[in-house]
Amino acid sequence: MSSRRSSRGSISEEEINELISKLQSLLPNSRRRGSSQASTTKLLKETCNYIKSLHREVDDLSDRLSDLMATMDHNSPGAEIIRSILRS
Amino acid sequence: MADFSPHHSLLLKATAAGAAIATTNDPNISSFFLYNHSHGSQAPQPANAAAAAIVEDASLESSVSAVLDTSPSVDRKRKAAEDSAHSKDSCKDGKSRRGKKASKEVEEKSTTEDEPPKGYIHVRARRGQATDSHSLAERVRRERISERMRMLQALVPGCDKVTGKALILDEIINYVQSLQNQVEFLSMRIASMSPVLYGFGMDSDGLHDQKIGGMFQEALAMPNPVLNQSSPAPSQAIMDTTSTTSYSLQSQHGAISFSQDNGSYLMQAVGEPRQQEMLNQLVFNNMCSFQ
Repeated sequence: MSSRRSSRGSISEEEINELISKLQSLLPNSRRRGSSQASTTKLLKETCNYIKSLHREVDDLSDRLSDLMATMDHNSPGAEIIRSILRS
Repeated sequence: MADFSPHHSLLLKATAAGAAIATTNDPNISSFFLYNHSHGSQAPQPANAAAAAIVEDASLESSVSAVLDTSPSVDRKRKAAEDSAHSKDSCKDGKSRRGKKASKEVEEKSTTEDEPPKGYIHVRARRGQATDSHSLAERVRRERISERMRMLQALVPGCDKVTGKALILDEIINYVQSLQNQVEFLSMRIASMSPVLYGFGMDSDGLHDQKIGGMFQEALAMPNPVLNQSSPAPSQAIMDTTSTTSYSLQSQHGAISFSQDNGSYLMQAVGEPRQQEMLNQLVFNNMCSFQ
């Protein structure tokens, strides 16, 4: 039983390692650090932080976009075009 | 006459059982007796069968005495069985106590080894689990990983529904990619919007794609001052997203693609005329795709 489990475990372990490295390649820090194999714990923590920072960024950018749209010159023909473009 | 004797013996057995209940202090044993007697009435034991055989030949009194004689012997047998069962139980108790002791030892070990420097992480070794320091460290590591996974699951929407580490990781990867895409898209829209506004303000028939492309490049060429003005978000990420804009433009129509290049690519791309044309084309495509 233990051998069967270990063999099945190794397959999923491989899959998980693959996914982990994929995840690592998505993180911005992985480029800076190079190819050093970080621990899974650290990687998951970084992923957490990265997702949070992405959330903040998306919020911030959408705020700025709405600000830009609000401060747009209403009489400008270009503004009209851009507004219609962005609305669609 | 012989037909009644089993009935009588049952009655007597029942009273004997009552006596047993009255005399024994242990509730387990009394219930055990009751159970056995009811069983005996349904399916007579060999001893009872022997008593019945005696009853058929002898009078009621002798049958009664026989039953009275046999039932204590049965009780004794039961008691013996009970005792053995008890001893087995005590054996089990001893084992489980020993197991508990072992796990306690493990816990103590883990507290002495891991917890003082790293805070409280509960490590429990069940019976049969290894207790050497390597296994303990591995267990601590796995605990941490699963804790992080739970945190990530809380962050990623729809991730708490899937089970299995691989699927969860897949979901997390997809989510990170979609967030990156979103950031990219938003920053690109902002970057393409502000200079185009100025451009339209100066030149009303500036819909010429060369013009837009040029302005777009302007926006790209100075990403930091433009984009970081009101952004507390890390500039690293913004640099990344702006640098991958040319890629994202190519994938505007659905496909998700990501560049792992850093910002230097952008400068190269802007510097080359061929790339410039490509960019212009892409910007135009992008504008069309908005509609």
